[in-house]
Amino acid sequence: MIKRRTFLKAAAVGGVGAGFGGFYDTLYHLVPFNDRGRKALHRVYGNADSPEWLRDPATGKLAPNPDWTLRHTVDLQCHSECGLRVKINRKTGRVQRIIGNPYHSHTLIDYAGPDTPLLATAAFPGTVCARGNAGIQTAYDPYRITVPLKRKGARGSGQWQPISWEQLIKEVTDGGKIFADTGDPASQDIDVLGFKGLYAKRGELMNPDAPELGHRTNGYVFEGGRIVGSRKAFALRFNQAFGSVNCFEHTNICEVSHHVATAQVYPGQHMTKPDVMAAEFIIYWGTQPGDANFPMQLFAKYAAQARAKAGGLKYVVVDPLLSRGGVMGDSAAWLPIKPGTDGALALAMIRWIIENGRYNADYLSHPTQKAAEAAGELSHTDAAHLVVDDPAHAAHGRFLTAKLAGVAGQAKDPELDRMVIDADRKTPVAAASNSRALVEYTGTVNGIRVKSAFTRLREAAAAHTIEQYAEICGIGAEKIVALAREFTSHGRKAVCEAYRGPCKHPNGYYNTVAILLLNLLVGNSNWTGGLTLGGGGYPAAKGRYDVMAVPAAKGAAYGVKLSREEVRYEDSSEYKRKVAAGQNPYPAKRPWFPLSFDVFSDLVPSAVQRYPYGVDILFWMMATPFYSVPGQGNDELIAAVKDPKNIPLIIACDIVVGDTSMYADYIVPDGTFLEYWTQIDTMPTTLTRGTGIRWPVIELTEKAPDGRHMCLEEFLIDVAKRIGMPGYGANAIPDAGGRMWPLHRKEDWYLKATANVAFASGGPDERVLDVTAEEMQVNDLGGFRDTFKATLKPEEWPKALSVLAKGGRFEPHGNARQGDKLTHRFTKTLHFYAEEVALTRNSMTGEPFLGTTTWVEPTTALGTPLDKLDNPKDWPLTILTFKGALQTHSRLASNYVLRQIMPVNGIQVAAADARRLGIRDGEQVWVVTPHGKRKATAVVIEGLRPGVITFNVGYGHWGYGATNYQLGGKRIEGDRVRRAGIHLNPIMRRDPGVEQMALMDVVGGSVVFFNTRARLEKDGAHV
Amino acid sequence: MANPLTTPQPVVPAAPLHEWWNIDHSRPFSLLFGNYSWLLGAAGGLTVIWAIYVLAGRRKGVEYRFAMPLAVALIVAGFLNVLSEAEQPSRILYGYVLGWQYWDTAIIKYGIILLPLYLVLCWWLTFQAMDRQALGAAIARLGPGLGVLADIFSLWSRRYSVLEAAGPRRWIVGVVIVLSLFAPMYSGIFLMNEHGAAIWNSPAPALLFMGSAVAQGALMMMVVLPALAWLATGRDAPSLVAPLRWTAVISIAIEAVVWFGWMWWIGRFGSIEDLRAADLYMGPYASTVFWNWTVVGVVGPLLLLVTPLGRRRWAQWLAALGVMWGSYAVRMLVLIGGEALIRSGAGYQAFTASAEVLRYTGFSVLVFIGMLAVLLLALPADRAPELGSSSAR
Repeated sequence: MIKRRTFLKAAAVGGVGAGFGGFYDTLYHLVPFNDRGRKALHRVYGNADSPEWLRDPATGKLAPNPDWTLRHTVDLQCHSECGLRVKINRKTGRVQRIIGNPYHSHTLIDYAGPDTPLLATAAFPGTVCARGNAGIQTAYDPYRITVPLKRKGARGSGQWQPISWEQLIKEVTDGGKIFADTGDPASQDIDVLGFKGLYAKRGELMNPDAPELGHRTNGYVFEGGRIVGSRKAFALRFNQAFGSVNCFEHTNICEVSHHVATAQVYPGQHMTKPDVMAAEFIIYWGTQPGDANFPMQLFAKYAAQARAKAGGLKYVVVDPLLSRGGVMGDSAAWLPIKPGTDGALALAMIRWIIENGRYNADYLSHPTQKAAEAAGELSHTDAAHLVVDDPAHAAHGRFLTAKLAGVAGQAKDPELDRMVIDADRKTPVAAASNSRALVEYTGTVNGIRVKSAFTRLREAAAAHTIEQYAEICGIGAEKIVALAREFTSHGRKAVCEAYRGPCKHPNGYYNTVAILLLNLLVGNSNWTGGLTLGGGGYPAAKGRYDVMAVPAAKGAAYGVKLSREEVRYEDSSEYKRKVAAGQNPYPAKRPWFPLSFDVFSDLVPSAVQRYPYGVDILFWMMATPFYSVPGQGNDELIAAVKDPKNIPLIIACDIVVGDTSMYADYIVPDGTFLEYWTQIDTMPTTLTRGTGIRWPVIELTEKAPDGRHMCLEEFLIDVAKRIGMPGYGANAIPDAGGRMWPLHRKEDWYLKATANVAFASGGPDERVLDVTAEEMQVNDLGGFRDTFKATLKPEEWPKALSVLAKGGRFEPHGNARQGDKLTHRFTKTLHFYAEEVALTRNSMTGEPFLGTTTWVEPTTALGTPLDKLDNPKDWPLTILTFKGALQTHSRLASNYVLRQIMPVNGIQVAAADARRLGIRDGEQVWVVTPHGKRKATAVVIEGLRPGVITFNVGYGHWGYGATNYQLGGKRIEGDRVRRAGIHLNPIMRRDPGVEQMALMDVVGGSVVFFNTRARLEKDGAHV
Repeated sequence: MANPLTTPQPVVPAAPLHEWWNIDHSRPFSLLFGNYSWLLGAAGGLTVIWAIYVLAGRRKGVEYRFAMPLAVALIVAGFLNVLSEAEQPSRILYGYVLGWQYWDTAIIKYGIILLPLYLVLCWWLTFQAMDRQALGAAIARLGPGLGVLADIFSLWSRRYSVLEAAGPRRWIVGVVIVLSLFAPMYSGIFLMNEHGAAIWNSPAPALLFMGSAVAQGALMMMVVLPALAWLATGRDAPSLVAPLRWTAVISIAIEAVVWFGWMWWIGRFGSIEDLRAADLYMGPYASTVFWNWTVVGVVGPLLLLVTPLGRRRWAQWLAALGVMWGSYAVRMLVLIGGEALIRSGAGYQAFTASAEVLRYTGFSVLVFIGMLAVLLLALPADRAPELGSSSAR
């Protein structure tokens, strides 16, 4: 047996020797002041980058560090469009750091004013969220494509060949047998039309039997994913000059029903926001501070600061998922509503508010803005406006006009050509001549039965009892009443804010309108602490230059869009033919969306089905419908797209071989948001006016032979010039004096848009100062100006450079409010009643849509209730998606710093469901829907309504570097980090009545994300 | 609804246990900070009781003789952990060389001065607590060369004693008490100084660390020191019980009151950020809290110590091990509670295990054993003082 002291000696020698030996690197580097084997760059800052600003030890003054260039641009890691301060190494040209641009209203509550010297912002930079900081990894993604690619083999075979810029432009423009070299039997003999061939048919009708479809040039379809502001305008300009109406962005997979609903209540507007900082009570419907929303981080900052004040903001989150903003405390509460029933909750509140006289009756009684302002109000509604309510009358559903009422003096403004009942005399009068009208009215005018818009709403809300509404939405009646009471206890400082949650359902439009109407009941528009439509932006399209004008191509683009949006089915030749033939014209082959726009989700299926016409050239601009559209990434549709007979030419413009661009024929290399231009207005949330300018702070794609970096704009310019399209080349852009300026490169266009922003009119404190020497030096603008010197007039440069140096132009934050009123106000009539909607029919059922919102069950396009489609007994769960703050989009998979934090998503299951189903946290389960199944890790959480499962979008890629492909014969290995997690969009519910269409809101045009029924299975047995 | 934060949730512990070392090294603090906090805490708990014993005139038992070597080994191992935690450990020394301004307002400037002083003090008192004659004889046997070296290492302790005279003894013991309280609380104070981590920006961690440190110090003194005495001398020593047993009980009770009081306070008064952080303890870390801290670290030891079982050595050992485990658990819980929160509010952080911190943890255990063995070997083997407890049983 070992002796005691021998043991101690062994322990001493072994312990001290091995132990200290194990710390050799720590000890070694402790003594010589090294950083783990490498000498630290700086004895104080270590290996961290040196700061952007240096302090002179003698004077204590700051000075720019000459090692770095700082440039202000705009983020696009999500659609918050926050301003960025990008730190670039002057020697290497590499971006080293991204923080917030303190001049931009999205990155600071009290952002720097336009006359704040750059040096003064050294100590208070703006902030951006984790995604914003991670943008460097989007730019320097090892899977970036920087040269044009052409497929080898069949579409989607995963084989690519790098080609030259000239070859790309020549082949896609001239067309011909351009796939002869691919070795693909299905396409090598196809004679492709190309841009030139299609443009040559610009005088031909798409279908002579249906002239409303427009010209053959509508066969070019631009399907944009994330493309915003002036960049979208650039693409649209190409479409208009080419003669195609088909220029889309992704809006209907985002929240177009919300925009459509907003536009019906707030005419022409797409977004309202609360004055968060001054509000006393906010109900967030389907969104929460700190989650998605615009701008995400500023919204969270506002809410955090507002709720921290004594007697400050209280808010309630109505959402099946409890996320960051919905944490419960004294100032925040969470109502886990049943998905898609927000309208029922809102209408229950409306009912209670009206029945208990808690609405602002005096405010609603003013039928015009003039009358409202005379009474000290800031806005007015159509509450008292009379609506024809007689199904037998030809004007049923229309507002009662002077003509219908038999009264002389028709107002020129249709919004004022309405009749009301005078509150004192109780007689019908023209709204324009009335100051106070009856809000409640049912009766007859000139023999026509009418009701006021408000009465219609009251009756619609009364269709169900509060208890019935409570049963529908899963929120107790007592909570509904308490919520309604609280909402009406703060005067004008209570706001309902709706975003994606309520609107991504078949009844999304009606849900959202019901929520917005709550705001009208308390009259909060334009008041401090109330609701705002924002300050807008500085116009980029017109001013010094008319950058959108292509006079020679005016009217070239017309006709029905591929998505059949913004046009009524009843106006189509198809409808008229059927009626003439005595056939029931309903249903249409696919829905028409007369009230909506950017119906992105229906483009590919419509193209494949050739309804209303076929597509010659499909251009995917950073678009990934197979990944991002519910139900669309299925084998059947992908196989159809892979068949060149359906769509002869598919071009993608992307930064990587993406989940959808992998099925293209060509990929045009594009820049990331750090490499291209956009003028983009700030969000209404800020209350002030502002336009951010995104511009290339770096450029990483290869150069075309003439030195331009390859990207979308240069591609479109070169195609246009090769065709000889007007609006490109030597005489392209008219200035205010009529002089034509050239368009040979993107800066020729975007710098003029920048000058428009810089010279747009504004108040005295919005003035743009000339660029300073310091800004020129820190932003390294001298070389930039010299390169593009001839693009602007000499007198324009100092101010154009000034707004570039500041990353845009922003009204001072102090202008947000004027006492208890907001500075920027919206004064058009706010609508309880949507006449345009009431006069529109569902193209599938022939039923009219509802002008007065009511509770509407979610159905398929043909009207089948979803519970009948998928029996809840077999499919007891509903899938929701959510946008986490770390992965909101399909394209952040390259951001490894974000993936380190959250490497995988999993399927989130409510704890009560997990207990009932015997599912443990971390267990592998199958998520099964009627269209397939996916295996996922169960993440059991408390903050989720039972009966709902959810996943964070952005994971489970098959493209974007997730899987292997071949490039020039070399194998590119996919990265499992990008494959990690699940993505359920491909197995989301499709509408059985329409080929390859997801469930849709046929009124608002949104694709449905939140009504797919599912079940969970484990070990072969479903639970 | 009852405050779920203070409602024990008996969940099977296996799954979340990996979270204990599941903090990536690139975060502000890793497992190594927890190690450091625990080791310095144990040392502080041990030496503060040692100091109180000395003030009370108890300078004969094993607790007088062996507490300091154990503390030295703990401190050295703790230092190595925190030095490895720093990406550039040499920068910790800058203040000494380049000037105080490089630490500016950093909280670390207190630790960087006081903690090395604490180590030196414990090292010195290791030899001061020895029998001077025995020490002198042992050094004399080494011969002139090694003897000089031994004198330097023992700070010439055979030639004088600061603990024998009442005046100097009171001063020295006073300094020991101050530094012994500082050592366990400092890691909590350090966390308080980290901006924006709600769960750290509270005095509760410092109090928790203090309470757990005294509890484990008392129990280590009760069972570990007799074992060390046996290792050093070969003579069996009885375990020391009262008042250490009740010191431990009171400290554990204080610790429990602080924890549950803190959780109640958060549930009742905490900000949303506090609640978000504390939600971890009722969610993913509920079973970790329940088993590792509530059961093993608090309830189990209390049951063993307050009942008659507490007189049995096996029960004392179990209680000591439980308290030590609980003490480590509470540090890691506080650490991961703060680390997991993203300051932007974007959810919780979870990381994969870092082999590096596990490696350093293992080496720090070896250093602790080695240092302790070295110091025990340095004790004169054949002329150890009379062993036995100065405490009543």
